[in-house]
Amino acid sequence: MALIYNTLRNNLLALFAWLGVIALVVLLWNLAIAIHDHITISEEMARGAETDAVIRLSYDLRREDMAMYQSLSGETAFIPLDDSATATEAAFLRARTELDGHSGGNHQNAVSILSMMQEGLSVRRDAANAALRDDPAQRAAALRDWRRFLDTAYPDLEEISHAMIAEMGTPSAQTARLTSLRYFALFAFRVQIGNRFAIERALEEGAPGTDRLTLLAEPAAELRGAANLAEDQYIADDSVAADRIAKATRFILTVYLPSEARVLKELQAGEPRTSSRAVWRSASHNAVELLTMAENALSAEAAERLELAESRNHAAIGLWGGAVLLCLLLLASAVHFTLKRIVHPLEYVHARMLQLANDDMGVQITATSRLAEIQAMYDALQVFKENGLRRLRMQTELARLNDRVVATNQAMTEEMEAAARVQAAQLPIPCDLPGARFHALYRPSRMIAGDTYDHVTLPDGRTRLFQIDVSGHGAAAALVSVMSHIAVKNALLQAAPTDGLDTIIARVNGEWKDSLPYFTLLLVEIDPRAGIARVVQAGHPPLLRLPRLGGVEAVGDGGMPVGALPWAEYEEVVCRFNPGDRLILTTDGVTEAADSEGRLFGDDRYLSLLSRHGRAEVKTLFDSLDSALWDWCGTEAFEDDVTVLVLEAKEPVYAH
Amino acid sequence: MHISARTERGVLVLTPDATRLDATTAATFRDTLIGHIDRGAHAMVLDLSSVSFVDSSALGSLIAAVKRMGPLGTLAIAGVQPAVARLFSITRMDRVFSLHPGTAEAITGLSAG
Repeated sequence: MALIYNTLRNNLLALFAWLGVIALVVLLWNLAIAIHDHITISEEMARGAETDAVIRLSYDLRREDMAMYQSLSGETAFIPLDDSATATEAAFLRARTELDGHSGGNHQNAVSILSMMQEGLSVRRDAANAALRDDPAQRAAALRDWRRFLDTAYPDLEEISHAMIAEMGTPSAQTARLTSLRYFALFAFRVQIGNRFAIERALEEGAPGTDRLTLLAEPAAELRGAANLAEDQYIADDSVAADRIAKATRFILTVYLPSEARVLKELQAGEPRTSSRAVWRSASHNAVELLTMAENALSAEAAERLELAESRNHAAIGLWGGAVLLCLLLLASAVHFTLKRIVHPLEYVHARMLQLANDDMGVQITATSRLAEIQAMYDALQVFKENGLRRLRMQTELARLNDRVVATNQAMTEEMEAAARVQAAQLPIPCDLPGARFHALYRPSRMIAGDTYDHVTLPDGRTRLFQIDVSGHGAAAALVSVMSHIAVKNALLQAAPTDGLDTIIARVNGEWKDSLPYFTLLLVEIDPRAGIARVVQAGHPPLLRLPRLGGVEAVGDGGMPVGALPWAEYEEVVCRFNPGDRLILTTDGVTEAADSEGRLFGDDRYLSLLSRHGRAEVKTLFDSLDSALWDWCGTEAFEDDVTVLVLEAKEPVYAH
Repeated sequence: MHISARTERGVLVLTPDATRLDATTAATFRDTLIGHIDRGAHAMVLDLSSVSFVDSSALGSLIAAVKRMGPLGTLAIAGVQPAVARLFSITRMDRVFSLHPGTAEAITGLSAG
């Protein structure tokens, strides 16, 4: 199974999968962080909007309160009350809407408190507006009622604000400082306006006690401390909000608080002056305006900072989201490219290599590649195919040639066998001759032979027998052998009965063509009536005579081969050939038979063999000679033709 | 087979380095001898002291060489071993070639002749 999965394709895909997983984990982690930031920022913006609405409501409510106070107390001739009322109503609506959109018991509670507050305010506002047209006594009564209502409303609003601030938790870095400054502004605003009313009341009532004066002076000290702290925090900041808060703070510290101190001092001295009070009231009004402007700037900047954070967060989400998509796209295209350009071509090459290895040359290599290595493989594949085709053609050609060689060899063998049969047909079979029995052992070395023999019986009972050995063997030697056979036999047939054997051979020698190879010859004439044999030896091993009583003797001492030299002379030798005697004619194939190391069988072994078996049955003699030669050569195929002829003298018929 | 040739006292001495002169080398042997004769060698000593066997084919090459030399040339053979001597005797070639025990005697014989 492991083998199936351990492919190039699977390895590459696994590699890509690992790389892809790692890249995706990194990118998705960053994306998750950005999304988490987004949730945080969104929540912060929602809380910010709620807090904002409640704070604005505080501002607007106090502003209306101040306007209403100024109108009812107759401090100013005309204050546009409708504007401040509209602003307050809008602030209530906004605060309720923001809080309503938020789930949670506290908020629902806050919403119902705000609703009741709005209704109560609306009733008092209407009453106050009506009282404005009445006498001063009515106005004072309306103002007292208004005052009483708002003095209970402010703590409720304060409580809601505190709950909102508590719910916001730890503000983020972007908004922390702004939030604390807003608290400062809100605090300054509340303290300043609250104290204003307290001081106004004290001024109206006149001659306050020391305790009350100390109480009236306390908020100024708190305000101074807070303003100093806020100023310290804003030294390094150069934003619009910082500028506004700095202005407001400086105004409170340098104008408002000194004017308030003067009013309180005069009150303590029991001689309050109208001019000081007017200056203080104007400063109070300006402080309220400056703090409102500062709050507006702070609110705007807080929103702006959150929006900036939000847009950065959107950019981050876009960036990481895009990176994830790009990564997936790159991964997909890398996988696609690798499969298309590398894996598929390699599989293509692999499949065709296997086909070529199976000698399937029908395979078509049509693919091309823009990658140099792959193209080189395709080219190599084409070369393999061409080589394969060439090899197959050569194999076919070789097989065809081999068939032809086998066929030719077969034909030649058949022809040689046919030739051998023709050649053998001219050889006489073993037979009885007048006064003798003729035996032949004939072992041609290559089917056709250079050895040949024949005999001619004369009318007077003499028989002339010849054995020929043409030098060399094979077809040419066989042809020469046949020619010499005919030449000698013709010479024997045409010779006069009185012609000596030496004369006949000399005649053949003289007529033998110079261009033909020579041959050796042993010509024997047996004369049973005389009990003798005559021999001419022509380059041939000597005639061997085995007398009836034992021994082996060579007859003659040599003579020139026939056809070697035209002037050659021959001599006839005579020996006894009595009944029981054997004459043996041998070609040199016997004595020159060589063993595997080139050693010759030799005369001595041959003579020894004849001593032992020469007088046995001729078949036994031939068998023992055959087996001795085979043993010597180690093979049944002799290098040279082997011919042994035996003439065995019989008891003459006429003797009985 | 290689046949080395040297000239000693105006006589060409040929020494085949083989131990057998048979059908496998007969053609080379014959061509070498005929080549020397055609280049004008008419007195030649063949040193067969290393040759233990001569077959009928090689004998044919010797006969061809003798015929090529004609009646004026002489082929002397030196150092024949017994088996070779016997072949020359059977074929009466000892009457065609002049046989000598060694090359020195053969050269002397040729110079005297």
